[in-house]
Amino acid sequence: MRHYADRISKLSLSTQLAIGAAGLAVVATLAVSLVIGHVTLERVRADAGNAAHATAVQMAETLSRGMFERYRDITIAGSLDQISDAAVPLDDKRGLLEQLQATYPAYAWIGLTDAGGKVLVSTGQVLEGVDVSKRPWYLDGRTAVTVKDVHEAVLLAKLLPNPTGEPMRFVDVATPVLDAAGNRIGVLGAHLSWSWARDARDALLQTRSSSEALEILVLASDGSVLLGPDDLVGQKLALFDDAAAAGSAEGAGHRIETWPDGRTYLTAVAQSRPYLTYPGLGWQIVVREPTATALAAVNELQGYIALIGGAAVLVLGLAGWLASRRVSRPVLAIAAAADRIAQGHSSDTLPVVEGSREVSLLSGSLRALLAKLQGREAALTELNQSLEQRVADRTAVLASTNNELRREVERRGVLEEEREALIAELRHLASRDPLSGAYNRRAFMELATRELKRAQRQRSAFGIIMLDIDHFKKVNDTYGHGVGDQVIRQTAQITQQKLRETDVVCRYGGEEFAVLLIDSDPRMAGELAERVRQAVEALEIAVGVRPCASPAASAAP
Amino acid sequence: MRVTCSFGCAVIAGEALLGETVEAVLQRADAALYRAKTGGRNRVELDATMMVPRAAG
Repeated sequence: MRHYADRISKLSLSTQLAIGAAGLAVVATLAVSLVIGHVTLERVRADAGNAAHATAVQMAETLSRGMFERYRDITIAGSLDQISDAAVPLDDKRGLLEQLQATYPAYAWIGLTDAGGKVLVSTGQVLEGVDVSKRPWYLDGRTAVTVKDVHEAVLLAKLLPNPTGEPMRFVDVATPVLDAAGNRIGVLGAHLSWSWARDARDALLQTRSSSEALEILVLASDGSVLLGPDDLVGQKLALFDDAAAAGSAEGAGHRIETWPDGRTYLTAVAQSRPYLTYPGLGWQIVVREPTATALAAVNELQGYIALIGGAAVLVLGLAGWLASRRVSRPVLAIAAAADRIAQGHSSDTLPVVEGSREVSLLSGSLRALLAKLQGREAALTELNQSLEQRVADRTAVLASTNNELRREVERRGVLEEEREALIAELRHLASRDPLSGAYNRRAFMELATRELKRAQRQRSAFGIIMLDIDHFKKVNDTYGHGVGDQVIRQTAQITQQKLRETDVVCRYGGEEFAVLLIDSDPRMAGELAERVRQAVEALEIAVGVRPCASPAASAAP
Repeated sequence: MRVTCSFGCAVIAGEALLGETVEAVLQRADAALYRAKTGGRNRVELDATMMVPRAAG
């Protein structure tokens, strides 16, 4: 449900309005058709039922009156002297009976019996002399005025003319005939052709020409059909006891009934009642009409409502669509213009759109908004351009400053290197003996102190070799200070050569050196000293241009 | 021409290092050197406290 609602809300406005209007029309049509249909159905049903019931009542009346008239005819005829007086000739009696028959075409036969049940005279002399003492009408007619319900012809079937060929059926009326002394001298009986009832029915139906499907049935008191459609005649219909009871209870006398043929009929029932002296036979008159026909008016009306409703759906849908188009077209025009502006093609401003007041307002507001935005955009562009110019200027200044700084840094770097080299040089000079190039005594003490601490921390070893040039005073005296200096230089040199580079050789005094063993193993001090001793012993020192070499100076003990 | 040198060695190792000073070690080496000088020069003398005494040729 929600899913559909979402989908509808995404449709265009015109489609939504068209759907809404059409939906409204459908709902309205359905509601109207339901209400009107229900109301009219009830009314039409009541009208048709009442009409059918009236017809049934009228039929019952007609039949009862007809029966009463025959009942009266026979009662009166039976009491006439011409019938009861035995002195009247039979031909006169027959004349009277035939005269009576002529007054009403439904009289099929009228006859007078003697006290033993033999027919004395009859219309058309039919059955004269025949014994009818076993016939019910005779048996009952002996004692009182009798009416016998519809039955098949027994004795007369082959004797009377029968133009329709249908089985002949009669209603019998009989009355005892008494002489002046009150003695029963015979029975006067009449057979009334049942086609009389059919004629009465047809006459009645003719007055209701509009309802062709209307049918009238006559039921005996036991529910069997005396008159009606051929397929129902003779059958017993239980359903009408119920219908009659319901009808009388409701007072309306009609209802919708399902008949044995499976169809539903609007069914009305009327009870034939006694009429004056005629006691009646308890007939039920049933009028039925197929509901489809009876309620055709309702169906027709509902058809009209559906037609009008469909037209309303179309018209309202179209109207809704057109109306929403009127609303949405200017909005779409604004949207299209806005899109063009957004894509950058475009006129500088939104078009003035004519439409409803709301659309005009929207258009005006959007134009004002756009104008404001464009103003801001221009100001922003200007600001950006000036900012870019300022950034470019600053960048140029910064670049030149940067170059100067870089040159300055490079210059300073060079100076720094020079300075450090100078410092290193000074430091070197400060720690060295200028003559021999060996460490001086101050530097030696620093290095030795540091090395002793390290050895103490590591529990390793710390070793020092002291060496002194033998008879150095004699060398100086013999060969001069230049050679003495040379001896000192070369002794320092060879000592350093025989040890490791990082072992510290120091000129400790005039011709005295101290060696701190750092890289060499201090425990090897004796061996190392011996190696240096041999190297010095083997060293040939050039004495230069002065030839005065003293053998004593070079002599070793 | 040739010259010769006399040598005095002093080595301190292990626990013996504790409490030592550079001056004290220098003194020992100097003492050994003195012995080398008095012993005839051109030789190596070891500090008397060193465990491995060596004679030089």
